[in-house]
Amino acid sequence: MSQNDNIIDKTMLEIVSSTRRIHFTEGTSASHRTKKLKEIIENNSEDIELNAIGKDNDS
Amino acid sequence: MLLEKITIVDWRCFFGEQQIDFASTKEKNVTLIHAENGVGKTSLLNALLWCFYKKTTPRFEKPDDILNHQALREGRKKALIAVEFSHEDILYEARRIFRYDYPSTAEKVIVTKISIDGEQKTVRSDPNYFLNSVLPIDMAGHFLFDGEHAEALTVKSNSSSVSNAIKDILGSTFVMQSIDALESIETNYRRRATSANALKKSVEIEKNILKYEKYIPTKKLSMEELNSEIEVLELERGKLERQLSSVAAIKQSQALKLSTEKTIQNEKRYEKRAKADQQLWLSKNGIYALAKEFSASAKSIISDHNNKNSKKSSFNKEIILKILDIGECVCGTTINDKLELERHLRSQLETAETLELQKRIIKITSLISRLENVNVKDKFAEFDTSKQAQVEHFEAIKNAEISYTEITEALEAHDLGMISDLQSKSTKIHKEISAKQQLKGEVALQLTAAEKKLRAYNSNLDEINRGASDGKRYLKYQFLTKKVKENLIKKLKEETESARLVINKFVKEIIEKTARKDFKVIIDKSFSVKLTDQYGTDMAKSEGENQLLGLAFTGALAKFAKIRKNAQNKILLPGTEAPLVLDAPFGKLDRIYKHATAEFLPQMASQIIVMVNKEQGSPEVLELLKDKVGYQYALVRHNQSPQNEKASEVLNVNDKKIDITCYDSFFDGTGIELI
Repeated sequence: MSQNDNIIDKTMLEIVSSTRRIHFTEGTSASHRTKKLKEIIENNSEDIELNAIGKDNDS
Repeated sequence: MLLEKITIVDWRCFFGEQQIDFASTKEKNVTLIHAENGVGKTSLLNALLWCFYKKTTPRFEKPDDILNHQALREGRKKALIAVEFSHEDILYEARRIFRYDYPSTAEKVIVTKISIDGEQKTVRSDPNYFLNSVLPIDMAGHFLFDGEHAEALTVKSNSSSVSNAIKDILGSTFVMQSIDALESIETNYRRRATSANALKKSVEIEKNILKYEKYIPTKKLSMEELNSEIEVLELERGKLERQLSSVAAIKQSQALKLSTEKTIQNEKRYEKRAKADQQLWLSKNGIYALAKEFSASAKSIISDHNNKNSKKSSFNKEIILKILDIGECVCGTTINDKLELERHLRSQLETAETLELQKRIIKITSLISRLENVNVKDKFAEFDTSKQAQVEHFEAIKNAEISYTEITEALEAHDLGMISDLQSKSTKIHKEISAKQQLKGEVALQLTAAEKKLRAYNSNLDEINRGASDGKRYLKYQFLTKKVKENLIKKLKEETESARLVINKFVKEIIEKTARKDFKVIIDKSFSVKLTDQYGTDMAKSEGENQLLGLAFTGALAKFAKIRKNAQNKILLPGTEAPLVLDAPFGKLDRIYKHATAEFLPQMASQIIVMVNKEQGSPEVLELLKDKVGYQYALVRHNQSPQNEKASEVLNVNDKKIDITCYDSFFDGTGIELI
């Protein structure tokens, strides 16, 4: 598993868990969810290897 | 999760404090609630949903009108629902209060843990999060629902509802929400990466991307419009088909009438042929039919004749007269010389027979002898067979004519024109659906082509952005967003597909046990629920069959949720075990299906709460459920007005008579009575 794959898996779990928490809390909005998810993405993307993106990103 | 008790105070139609204890043991897991229309069945169901999630079912009218009107008139301004439930052997209470003078945001749920000595402690975690971990809100809709909800799931056109129900039971709502959010986040990051790298080429590509981003939603909208138009048409056609399938009996009668007509014609032809055979037999063998009698009587006449003429002449009259005429006997004696001989001959004339009579007697004697030698039995056997056939055909005609009259009378009571009208309407709609589906295919092709182009432009833009240092940060964000989104889509698809197969198997098992026809249930890859015959041909569902199928699907969802209770899935929620609240599950079922449903109902979940009206809760159904019912309640309508000429409504259960509509009461609203 590449470094990028590990980051993707970790981010995925964080995102799901955060959305779940937001979903089960009364009175939270879609914009609040988007903000939270963006935070998770931005925090996790630091170690993404850009060299590997070329071949991954053409799907 | 098992429901133990609900306390309702001045909530909607329920006046004052009302309580229901729920049956929650393994042996007795059914709580039966008798209620007629408009008394509060749906309100009771919604009381549970409101308490747990502050939501109500879509068809619950005026959901914000919570406080009982009479309570408000009497100055009370608070409504309350408290539900006691056990989860993993611990007793909890969820309580939500509506305050008339406060905003709806104040109606927060409070969950407390109740210890054995009755002490209550508020749960530490967020009450909504806790309740959702016990019974997730999206799964709740499939446990606490009304009967028609189940039917709506399995109508032909409702494949998206089936797919959503399976996704709900998998606890995937927030996964789908994540996917949607990631979609828009990805677009946003791409823009940022591009604007950070404002090259001329990338600006041109961005223009094209914008063009396609505007174009694709219009095509998607067209697809959605076509889908909803098709859905409406299919619903309409489904209704017509159900009406037609309910007149299937009439169609059968029509076919039977035609075949009976044909039978009568055929039998008449066979009878005619049998009669012709008999006539032919008679013309050939009639003589044998009379032979015995004729022989006996002819023999008797001949014998009498012979006896009477015992001294008859040995010559016949003609010979004697000839002898007398020529005067010479056959022996050569001259008669004229012998007077005595002449006298003798003349006396012989008196008894002598004529030649003709002699010939006839010889002929008749020979005929009698021939008749006596014929095997009469064989000849009669042929006749008997033919006669028997004629009698059988006559009987068949008589019976067919009776059936024909009965069928015709039955058919006269129906409007055959209406059936043909329904059929032509259904055909017309079917043609419209085909045309719209063709159009949808064309739009789908355009959409796929546009999406392909958009992907190509995006990929092109990403390539350019990779070369620019300013865009790198956003490129990383965008890449990660895209990959997470793709992984989630892939995982959700795999889980849903495997759930589809398991749920299909469960539905099949229930239907095989309950349906009277040899159905095969298929939840296909597009999540349409189909009933097919043994040859795989689609079969139209009657209203009752659709309700049965809906209940089977609900039972299968509950079973699937139960087996996933301890599932270790990082993406999806584990399953749950929860009570099934069924409103009018017998509504459209006939006697046999009611019987079958009443038998499998207690097995559908660990706890069942069934709401029935007098018609659905027939004595037969109650008898079948009897051993599993722990508590029975009646929802009683109270009116302050006098009864006047209105008919009394009485419920007879367990030898108890309960007035389910009371007049001259001190309040207007619903009360709950334990039976």
